[in-house]
Amino acid sequence: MNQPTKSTLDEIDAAWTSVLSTLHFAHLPGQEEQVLQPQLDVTLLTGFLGSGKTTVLRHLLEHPGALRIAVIVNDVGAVEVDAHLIRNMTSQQISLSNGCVCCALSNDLSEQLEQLSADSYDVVLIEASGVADPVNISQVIHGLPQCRLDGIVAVADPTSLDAYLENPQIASLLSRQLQTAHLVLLSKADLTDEFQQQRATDLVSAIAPGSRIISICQGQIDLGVVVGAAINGVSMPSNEEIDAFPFASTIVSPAGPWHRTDVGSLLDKGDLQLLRGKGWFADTDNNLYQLQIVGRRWSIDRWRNDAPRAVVLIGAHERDVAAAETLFRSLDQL
Amino acid sequence: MLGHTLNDDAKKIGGRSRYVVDDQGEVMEHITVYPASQIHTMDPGRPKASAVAVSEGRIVSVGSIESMQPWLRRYPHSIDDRYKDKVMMPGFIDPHTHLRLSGTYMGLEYLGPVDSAAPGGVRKGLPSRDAVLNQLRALVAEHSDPNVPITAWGYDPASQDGHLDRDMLDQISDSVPIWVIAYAPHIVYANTPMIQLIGVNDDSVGHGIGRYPDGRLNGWFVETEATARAARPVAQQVYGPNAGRTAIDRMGAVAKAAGVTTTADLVWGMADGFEPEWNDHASAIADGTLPLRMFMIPFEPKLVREFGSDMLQFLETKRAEGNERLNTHGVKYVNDGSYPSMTLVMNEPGYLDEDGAHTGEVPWEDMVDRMLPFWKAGIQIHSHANGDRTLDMTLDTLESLQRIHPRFDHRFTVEHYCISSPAQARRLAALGGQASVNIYFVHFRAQLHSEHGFGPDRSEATARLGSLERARVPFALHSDFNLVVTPLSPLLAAWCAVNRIGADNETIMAPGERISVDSALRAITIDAAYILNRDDRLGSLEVGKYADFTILDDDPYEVNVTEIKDIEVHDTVLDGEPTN
Repeated sequence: MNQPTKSTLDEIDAAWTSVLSTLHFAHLPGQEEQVLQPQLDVTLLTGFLGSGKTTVLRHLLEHPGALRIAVIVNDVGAVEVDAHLIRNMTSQQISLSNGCVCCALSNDLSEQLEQLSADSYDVVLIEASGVADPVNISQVIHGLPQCRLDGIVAVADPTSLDAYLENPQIASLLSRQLQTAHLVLLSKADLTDEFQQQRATDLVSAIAPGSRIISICQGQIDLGVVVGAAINGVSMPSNEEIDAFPFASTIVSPAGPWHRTDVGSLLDKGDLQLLRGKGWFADTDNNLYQLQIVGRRWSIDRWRNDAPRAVVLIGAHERDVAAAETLFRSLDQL
Repeated sequence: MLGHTLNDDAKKIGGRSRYVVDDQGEVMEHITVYPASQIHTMDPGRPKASAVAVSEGRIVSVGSIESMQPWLRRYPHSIDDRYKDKVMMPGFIDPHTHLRLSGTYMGLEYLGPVDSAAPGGVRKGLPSRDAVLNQLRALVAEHSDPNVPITAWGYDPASQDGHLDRDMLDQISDSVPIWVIAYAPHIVYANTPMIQLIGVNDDSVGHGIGRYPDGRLNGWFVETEATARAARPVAQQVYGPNAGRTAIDRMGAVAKAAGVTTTADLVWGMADGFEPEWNDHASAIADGTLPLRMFMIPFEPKLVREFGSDMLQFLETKRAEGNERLNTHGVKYVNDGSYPSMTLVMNEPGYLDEDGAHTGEVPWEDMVDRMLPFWKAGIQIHSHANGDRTLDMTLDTLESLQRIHPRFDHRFTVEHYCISSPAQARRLAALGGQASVNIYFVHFRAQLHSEHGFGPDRSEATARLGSLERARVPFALHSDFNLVVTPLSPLLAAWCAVNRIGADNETIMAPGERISVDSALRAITIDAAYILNRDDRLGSLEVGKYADFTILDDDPYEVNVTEIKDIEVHDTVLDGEPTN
């Protein structure tokens, strides 16, 4: 008889829970054929216990640029924000002098997101529990009309990845987290050598083919890479404090109309090695569309307001950005 | 009803004719006798019988055809020998389910590669893509409404020979929509009619909408955004206006097939409100599609929110409106999370790793005040406690209630009782409480949690029935069928309780917590009736009780203890009427 093992039972249960949550949230009045209104951009941060999620969140809270960021975490106490920045602090919430807030995950996430939307934060970052499959939370967000899931970002610790993937209990969960993510941040670059980083990159690529992988050090990552909303208009992100791992970027301005199905099939092919992309283009009927790229995930939505016709492309290397630029330029010839 | 019964209205006693003649002048009162090869009455005083006599839904006599002659000589009767080769027991009682809630999901067929628990029992894994396609072909063949999609979950492209796609599924059917969500649910597969229902076409643009190399849609919807989109038409079917009633009918059939004749909905009012949920059950009973007795146990926070100080009056009104098939009973509190999701609240040393423990909607410090009105009104309290920390709080609360307003025979019930200590069992006994226990986890989940969440000690000793029995705490077994993947099957529950075999099918989990076959069978019949405070009418075959029976192919007292779960349920009888 085909007996389930412990880990397959775990997987069945996780799979079943995800199926239920997919169905549950799909019946809510979410985004139909999208005509985008300005709304709350939500980024989900996943990663196994000890991977470095909190460090990333702390960095972003302390370096929000012009954005008002709300961070939702499991344990507010664990986010040790620079004391100079703290305006007010309770066990449930830390308010910062730069306009950002860090609050504890409430029982009702959808209610909490509605409140943050009403308080007009620009961006919400949610830290998923280290032992959770991010699918469930992502479905909550898809089900909320005032929210837009900008991306799922995973943090992985290259120093423990090998060992975790050999543990069948952890491997299935960790794999689900990495497969769900659109961008993978390999943390602790300062604690690993080149060999370890390459090994971790190979492991992640094997589990989640096509992943965009970035090495980071002490949680330092450009806000524009983690959060699409940080790419303000079509200006390129810059964060002077990060010099360890600089990014390459460029702006492509369409020479004429682009058809959305052409843009869609270009993105579908999966040749782009971009970390992020954001911008607007118009079709032959002068309908305006917003394009967003997070790693291998992308979206094209109707855009109601006016916007500049240009697309920002961000990559880890100059060659990736140059290749992407060539592909986008080819849309002008279609 | 024949003669006198204790439960008739007092004024009718003695003043009643033994023969009632209807409009057509026929004698209505009639005894039906069901002989069986073996009858276990679960009345320890008269444990075995070979026939049971029934009239107007009640038991007239239990014994043999010879022993019941004093009744049969006086009244018209017939012998119905359809069960003469079968084993008869009192109708099984699952005292804690969520049929209406869980039924909404149960339209999903399972196509996964490994055996999986499901409400009707264990579903076999399918080894290959061909096996999956054959299964889908069989589902199409018996599918009645071509407008309703066939929905399935669990496909694993890695171990079942690669992805499904649109053309492949169109070969199965190009008219019935087919929707399959994968085992790792990051992809939905759809055939052409399903793609149309989802509302995308070759011109649609969106991440995760899969295509063949020629640009035609291939029926894949990949990653959360696209799967959410593909799930929308199915979700609307699952959650549509008739979903509650459909769910009750579907799950009623599952429960009946498992031999259940009585169950309780433990969160009445929570999902769609008290009246809609009541009305769905009432209409299902009226239409004959729900062959069960239903106890509707209201979810306290909803009761408080909706009715405030009128909550007891509301329950009284519903009690008057209810009847022997559908009625309100008790009140329900949910005070921590669940076992499989590792959200229950535990004492030291706590979880192995990070946990998501939560305490439920009613603040623990308010518990005594919240329970007191019901306690004083004599309404039975059912209080969910999965973790041992939550159980401590529950016992503290019960002790406070006893100090404020001492009561006997209150039947305060701890629901689930997953993680506990022998000391807690003895304290529960001292306070006069009882337990309704989810035993399925011992087999399906406990070993997993040895390394994941609870650690070895507490995982092994999940659901301590032996300790409850030694402390003389009355207990029942339940399925709680809802969102966790455990089946709804009282015989499987009894098997878990007697054997306590882990998921590896070898290890005996905490051998001293096993109980005898008789105790386990009591826990799904007479003791489950006691938990619901209806052992005066239900749970054993005794004169005057409801004629609810479960008919089995084999005798659970005679088969090898490891085979109790494999006994086939042949039929159930409700109010004296076979339900098949």
